[in-house]
Amino acid sequence: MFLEIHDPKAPPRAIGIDLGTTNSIVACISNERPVPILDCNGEALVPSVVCFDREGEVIVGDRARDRAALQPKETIVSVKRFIGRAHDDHETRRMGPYTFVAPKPGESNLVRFDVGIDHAVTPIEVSAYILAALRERAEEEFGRVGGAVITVPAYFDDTQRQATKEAAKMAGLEVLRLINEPTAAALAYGLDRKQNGLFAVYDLGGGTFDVTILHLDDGVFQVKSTGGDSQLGGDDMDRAVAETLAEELGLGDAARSPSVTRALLTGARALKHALTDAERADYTFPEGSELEGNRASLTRGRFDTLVMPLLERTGRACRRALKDAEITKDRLDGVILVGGSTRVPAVRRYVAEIFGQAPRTDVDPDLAVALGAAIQADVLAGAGNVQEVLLLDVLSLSLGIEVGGGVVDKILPRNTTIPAGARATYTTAEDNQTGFELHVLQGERELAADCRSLARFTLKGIPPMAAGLARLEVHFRVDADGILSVRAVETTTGIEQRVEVKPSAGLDDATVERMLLDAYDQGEADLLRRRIAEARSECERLWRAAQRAITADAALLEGDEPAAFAEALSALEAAARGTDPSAMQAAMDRVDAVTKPFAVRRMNKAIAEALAGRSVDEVDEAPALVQGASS
Amino acid sequence: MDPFARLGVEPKFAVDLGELERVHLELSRALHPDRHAQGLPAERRRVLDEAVAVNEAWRIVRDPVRRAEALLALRGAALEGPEAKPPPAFLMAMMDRREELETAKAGGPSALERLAASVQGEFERTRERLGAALDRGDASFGPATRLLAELRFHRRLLEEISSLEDD
Repeated sequence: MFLEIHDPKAPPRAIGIDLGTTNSIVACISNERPVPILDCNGEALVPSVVCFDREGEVIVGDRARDRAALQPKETIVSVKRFIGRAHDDHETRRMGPYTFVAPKPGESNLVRFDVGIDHAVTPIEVSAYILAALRERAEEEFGRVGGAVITVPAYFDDTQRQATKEAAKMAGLEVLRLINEPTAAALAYGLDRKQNGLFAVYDLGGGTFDVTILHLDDGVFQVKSTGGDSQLGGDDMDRAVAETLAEELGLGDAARSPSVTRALLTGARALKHALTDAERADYTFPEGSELEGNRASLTRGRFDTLVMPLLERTGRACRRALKDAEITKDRLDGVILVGGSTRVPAVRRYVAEIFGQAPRTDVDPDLAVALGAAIQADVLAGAGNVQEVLLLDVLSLSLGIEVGGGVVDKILPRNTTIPAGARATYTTAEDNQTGFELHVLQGERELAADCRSLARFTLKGIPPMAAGLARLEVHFRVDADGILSVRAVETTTGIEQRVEVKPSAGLDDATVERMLLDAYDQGEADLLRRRIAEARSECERLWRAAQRAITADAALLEGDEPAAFAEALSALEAAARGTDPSAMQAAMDRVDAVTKPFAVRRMNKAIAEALAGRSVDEVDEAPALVQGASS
Repeated sequence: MDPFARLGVEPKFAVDLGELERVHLELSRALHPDRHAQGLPAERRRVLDEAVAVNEAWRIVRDPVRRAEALLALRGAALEGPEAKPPPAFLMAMMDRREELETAKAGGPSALERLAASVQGEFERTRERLGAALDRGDASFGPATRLLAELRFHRRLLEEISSLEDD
């Protein structure tokens, strides 16, 4: 071990992570500016590739990418495209040279790879290895990592977001928030140039496409609309090119072994990259490749024709985003390109045409997302290293419930600013109906069968009455993390039910812990140590929050509160010094209970100040909902 | 909840949308949960309730249909019932519109676009009349509720055309 160059007592620092389809990046705030954390070669990008070596070693990044040709089945490339996908999904099947493990009865039908080791590997686990590599890179840079903001495509649904969070948990990262990639990019761009106005972010990555329209106003980044396709990106360009290469080489379906598929995709990618600057490119399949010695060539014109159908799919999403934002393209002050695939000249031309103006080229399409994530991480960690920033994001997919005929009634439509709440009222269809079945859905399609099912629950025990008399109020609420909670009340009787919305395909905590044990070969002791560390940092955070509040609003303290606070806080300190996570939780609950009246007085004061000068006769309490579990 | 009071704006139909955006941003700057991420747990819960309510009020007030509904509800008007039914002449006109929509579907994007522009025009004229009826402070809610029903009809038709255009 070399000398520790960082101070072990230094406070933990928050990081931002762009977990990309092709490459991943970790960034942090340094000297009030977001910067990528580099490896010893000065490289920011970590290829999002994980290789399960035959010797039992797990390799991540550049070295893993080099193995892809030799070990195509054991080297997982573009794992992000498998996140939250079913193993029998049509898209999944054509994604690459992998072998999937069919689920046993009763198991979830999510993708699992057979990589020749003792257990089937999930995309969550593969992502966790990438995230762990990024966490280690940050730890080498500055010691303790204090939470992470991880970016996801705006068009990721609840299941995919939940899977990303689980991967982070497995990688030993505390997730401060998941934020949308285009929004993160805008954050980095807008903050850097201090610009105000309306901007479009066109984000075409390796496997996902997002478009976001947002308004920048002195540090407030307000998303107006967002849209996209979570299964469209540079990989699809590679696949289109690989198909033509296969035809030209006369390779039928039977000739497509995993190594041939991998070799074709690698060749296609090389040609695509070469065509960024050249009008024509040649490729010779390298030594050791399954297609060794074969040659292929492609002109830019032919390439442009091949990718046009993909670009048109992005165009539809762009037009819809403009419409949803209720603006026309001439109102835009700028168009920002994000994602490696926007280097393709045909993409730039197409974007210029769609938005009627040339896109800005003064932003690094690879780094912007990670830098924006680092800024938001700094804000949420309360570090205050960057100037005032506030992100007002939206729901990217509508949330609703199933009503008669299998139709979805949208309660919170897409592009609603979060945090958000709304309610809808329903009644019974039949006489003497004593229960309501509620099916919570996510998506834009009209029929429930075509949307993502998030939860089902039943409100029971309604007394028999004639059809149409019962009044069922359904309340939806989404917090700033995008977590949905649902509450249903039959108002004539007051019967009530609350539900935590967990995506049906998500994993429960026990499964995650088992996977953790499997994946890292950690003993129970390690796991307990980690839980203690997590609880302790939560205690620290609460302690700091309480100190700050007391210092800021000492005048609002009443009666014996100072003494009661001091007592609860020293109990908290004592618990945090111990090793019992449940004792720490109990001490935190105690502090919460004791400080609650004071906290409410503080917030009422803040709210009154915000509304000062406005005529508010009453500020009534919004209904409290249970905390959901997904984002 | 009175959405106008929640935002501190005057309860009338003729809202200055630019001003409304400014008010919303100002309240968000103060009340967004991210601004209180380092607060005590009870503060975070309280401020979340408030931010949800502010966003909901903003959504209602900036939308002409929901703004009219909120104003009528505040004044105690019944939004359903015989008074709120559009007159037969309007229903006839709407049936004609439905037929036009069927024809436009066959006519392709440009036909849909022309129909959308024409319905949009009617939507705006109806919105003007509804605004006038609401802000005059009439004792009778009849004209306003009927105009609101018409406005909803135009809105639905526009949404339908828009979803056809997306396909």
